[in-house]
Amino acid sequence: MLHSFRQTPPSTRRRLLEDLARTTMGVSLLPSLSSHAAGAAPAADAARHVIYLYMQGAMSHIDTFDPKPGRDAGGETRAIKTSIPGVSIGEHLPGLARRMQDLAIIRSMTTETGAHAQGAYLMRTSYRMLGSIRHPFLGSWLTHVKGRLNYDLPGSVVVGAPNRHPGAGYLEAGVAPAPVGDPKLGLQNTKPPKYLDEKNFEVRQKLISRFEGKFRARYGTTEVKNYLDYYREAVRLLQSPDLVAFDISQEPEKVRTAYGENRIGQGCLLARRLVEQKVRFIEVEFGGWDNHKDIYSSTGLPAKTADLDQALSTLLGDLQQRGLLDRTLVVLATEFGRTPAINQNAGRDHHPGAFSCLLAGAGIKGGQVIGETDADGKAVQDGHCYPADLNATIAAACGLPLQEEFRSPSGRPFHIANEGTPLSQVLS
Amino acid sequence: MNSFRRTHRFLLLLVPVVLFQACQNQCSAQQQKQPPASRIPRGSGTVAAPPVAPMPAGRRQAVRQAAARIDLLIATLHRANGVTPTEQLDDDLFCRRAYLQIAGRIPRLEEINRFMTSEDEDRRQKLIDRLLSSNDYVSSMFNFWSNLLRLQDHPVNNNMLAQPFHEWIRETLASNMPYDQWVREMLTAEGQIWENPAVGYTLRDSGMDLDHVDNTVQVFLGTQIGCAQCHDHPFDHWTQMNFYQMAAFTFGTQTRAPAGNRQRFSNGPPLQRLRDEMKKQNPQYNVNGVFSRVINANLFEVSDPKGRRLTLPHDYAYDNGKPNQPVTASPIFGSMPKEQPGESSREQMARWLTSPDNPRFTRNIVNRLWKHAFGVGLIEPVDDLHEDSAAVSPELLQFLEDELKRLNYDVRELQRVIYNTTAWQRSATAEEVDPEKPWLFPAPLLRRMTAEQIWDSLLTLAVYNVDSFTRPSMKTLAADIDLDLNTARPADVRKAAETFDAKYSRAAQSRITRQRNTYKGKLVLARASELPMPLPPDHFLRQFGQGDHELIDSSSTDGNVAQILTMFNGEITHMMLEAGSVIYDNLLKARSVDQQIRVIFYSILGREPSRGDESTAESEIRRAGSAGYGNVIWALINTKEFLFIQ
Repeated sequence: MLHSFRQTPPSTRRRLLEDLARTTMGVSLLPSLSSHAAGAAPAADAARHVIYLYMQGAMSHIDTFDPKPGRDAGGETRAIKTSIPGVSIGEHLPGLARRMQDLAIIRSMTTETGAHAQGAYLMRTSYRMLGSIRHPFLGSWLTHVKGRLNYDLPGSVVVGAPNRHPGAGYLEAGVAPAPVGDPKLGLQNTKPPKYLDEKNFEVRQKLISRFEGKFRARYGTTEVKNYLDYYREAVRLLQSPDLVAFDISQEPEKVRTAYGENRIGQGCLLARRLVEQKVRFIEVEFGGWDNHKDIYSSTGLPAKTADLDQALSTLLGDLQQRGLLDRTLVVLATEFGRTPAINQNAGRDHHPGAFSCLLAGAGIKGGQVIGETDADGKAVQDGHCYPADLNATIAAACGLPLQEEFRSPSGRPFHIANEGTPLSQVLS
Repeated sequence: MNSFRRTHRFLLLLVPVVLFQACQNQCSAQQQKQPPASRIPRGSGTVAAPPVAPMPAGRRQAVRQAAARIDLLIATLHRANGVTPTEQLDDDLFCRRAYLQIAGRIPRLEEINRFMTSEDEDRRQKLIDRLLSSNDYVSSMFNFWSNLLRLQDHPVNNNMLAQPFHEWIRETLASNMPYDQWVREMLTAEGQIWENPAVGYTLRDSGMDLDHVDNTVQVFLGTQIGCAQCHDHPFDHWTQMNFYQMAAFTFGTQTRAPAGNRQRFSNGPPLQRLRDEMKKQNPQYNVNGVFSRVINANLFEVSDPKGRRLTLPHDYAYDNGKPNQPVTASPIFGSMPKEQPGESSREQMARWLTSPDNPRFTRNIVNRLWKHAFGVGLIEPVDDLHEDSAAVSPELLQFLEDELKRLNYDVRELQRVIYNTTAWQRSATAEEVDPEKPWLFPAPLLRRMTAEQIWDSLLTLAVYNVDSFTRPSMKTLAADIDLDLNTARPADVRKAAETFDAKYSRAAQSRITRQRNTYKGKLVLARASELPMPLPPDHFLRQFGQGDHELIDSSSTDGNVAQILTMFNGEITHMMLEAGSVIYDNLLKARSVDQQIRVIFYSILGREPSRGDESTAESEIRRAGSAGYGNVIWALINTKEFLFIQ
């Protein structure tokens, strides 16, 4: 069965997948595939890929993209000029300062919770974390609506993400992201032992389905069916020559060093390789921003920000050079900001009232700053941008239908970015 | 009927196994001369673990009565709603469920054999009792709590050593300390971690005074007040004032010795003093590494000095208080416990929180234990109880609460009751939870094994005496690195630092395990509860959803592609197929293909092969010879049936 599945032409395979999704999930792919018109008018050259960098722990906006020089709130971070006159950013971001013409910085981000788990969930899904349902993250939406561009590889990949990542939410398992723990190691266990040739592998697959037949007949639960999808996905992946995209050791050392020998650097490099192989959405997680204590210590925020700067500016340059930046949207997000006041432990605490995010690449008008905060970075002055608005902007840049109603298996109606409105001035 | 046939046939199979084992024991002296043929390390068989409190056998009748009461309440619920429950599990699948639930792993072949051949009418109840008083139970409950308490070896920073606290949790689970006392000890402990390990609870949140109270209330009262840290809770009645008043109880608690206090440290701040003196003696010596670490580790201590008061935030925006105004401690609900002489406000809070009169203290743990057994709480979500949250069966919830109080918070005894119910011994339902509708408990939910259950089960199939591979003990930590920081000389610190490096550091621990219990020099073989925490994201356990212990209950049982690749090609799967693995050896002992197929099915799935299974397996083995065995084992481990608990 496996063999014949592999020989099916791509168009038929796509249909098979859709049938599967329909029958198992009660969610239809088809209407949305053909109805982009319903959403905000998608940009002509809509983003086909997204690289989404997530700063876990809540990145201090004041020490990165919204510096407050000359104020107590500004802390020890100085501001530096960028390539766009009149725009300054934090001193630990010199690489991005030189690329400001490509960046749209949003300083008017605001959110409703100062709890990490809830804030991160809201940022990734546009919805509040509830006990009764799990909402999909944007990578699964993009795959669900637009389909894969490379059928053999997962539609989305998350690098170093926590367990509680919302993943595909209530959408079918086929659009769930594939997790990679350490970008240096890539996707592990992809090499079968020497004795196991392809024929033998197929024998084993057949044995599995024979032995578990009775169990599957009795327990046709969503969870069990999802596992069946992961098995199919794994088999397909193992047989694909594109698997090598996950292996960053294939890159020249010069390139690996340029990105930075750390999680974010190697994560960005992996993301670029996956975009080259047409993976839709790659999320790279970079933790350690929860600077309640000693924020300016040598291993604290300055070092972390420098790693981010090196990785992201190298990534943007690399994408541009390879002609990928005009179809790849790059996003930098975090769950909330940090307090203007420095606390008694020389750190900053949680601050949901104001923070910064960043967009660059496909579909984005660079060289601009959206919104502003007050003199101390405490409150947004006007035009608050909520997580759902940021997601709506990303979705619009990808040409996703924001107005279309989707139903969860239990029949509840949802929108891709909840009630979010795209920031029109950001979209090109 | 058909279970007789099964038992009977299974018995036949095991006879030669037993004979073979007997022979092996006699020949063991001879065997010792030969180098080990297997790369899989074997445990010595001795387990360095505290003794587990025995189950009170005299209570069997009382347990049956309490279980019958629960079944009656469930039957009432079913009758009122027209629910047809599933059938009772057969002995084989009951055995598998009991081991996975209570012992945290699948049963070994000889354990299945022992249970299946027992003709004792009380064999189920006795198995439950035996498992509840085993090291396996301690290991499995340790995993349960480490996920809720967010246990990390080095929380907050590298200098803090939390392993003595983790040992304390194991010990108190083994001695079966009453739950209310257990919580009280954690909430009120003072001192350094090696003299009073329960301080590890407060140290876990060192430097996060406000988050600490939020975590405590969520874990032990099943209540979320975190939102009220910044503003009045949007979906509940907690105000920011409530939050601050609750936080005021523990805000004065310090987690570090006051290094700048001249009365305590008359010779000056110890870290600075000792580093300076050391540099004077030997300018080349690196004072930054482990030298500073042992000083810092000595500075971690929990105390309640008077004088540190919580104030409202400087931007407090409500009418019931002013910015920066000091806050007086008051519980979020119920009444303020009377202050007792000499009591710290933290002790006062602990008394309020763990009181049998605090309705949520008992309800929370009972609800969590019920979910642990059935997969769904009587109230969901279990960590978001509200005043008006209603259980599907309020009578059942009440009964469980009363029972736990009557048992003086003996959690294990309540679990014993739950596992003896007919309700829990039903085969898992194929029905799925609809979060919008009340769940009526037709049976335990079909659940994927937790990451720890999968890992421990795979080890059960592969490694002998895996329980011998415990973590290096921290019992001697105090003797080795405890310093009087005011009088210590640099030489004392150096000595402590060297001992620390040799015995307790991460490197030392990994050296010990590398010599003793790794496969191919890489994969550390020990039960999940005996591995470092948190594990790196690429570890098998993390791939299958073990939490990073950053947030409460960070675990997950979701699938993903990486898990499947690991099961297909990962080392642990292949270790199983090597000479010297438990299943491999058991296979060799069986005499016919027919018996070998039984060994494989019982070992992995805990059940007899169906006729169809038999013929599929047999033709594969005839077709491919010895590789066929490998294919059958590999395939069974990769079935969904293996991953799920029926």
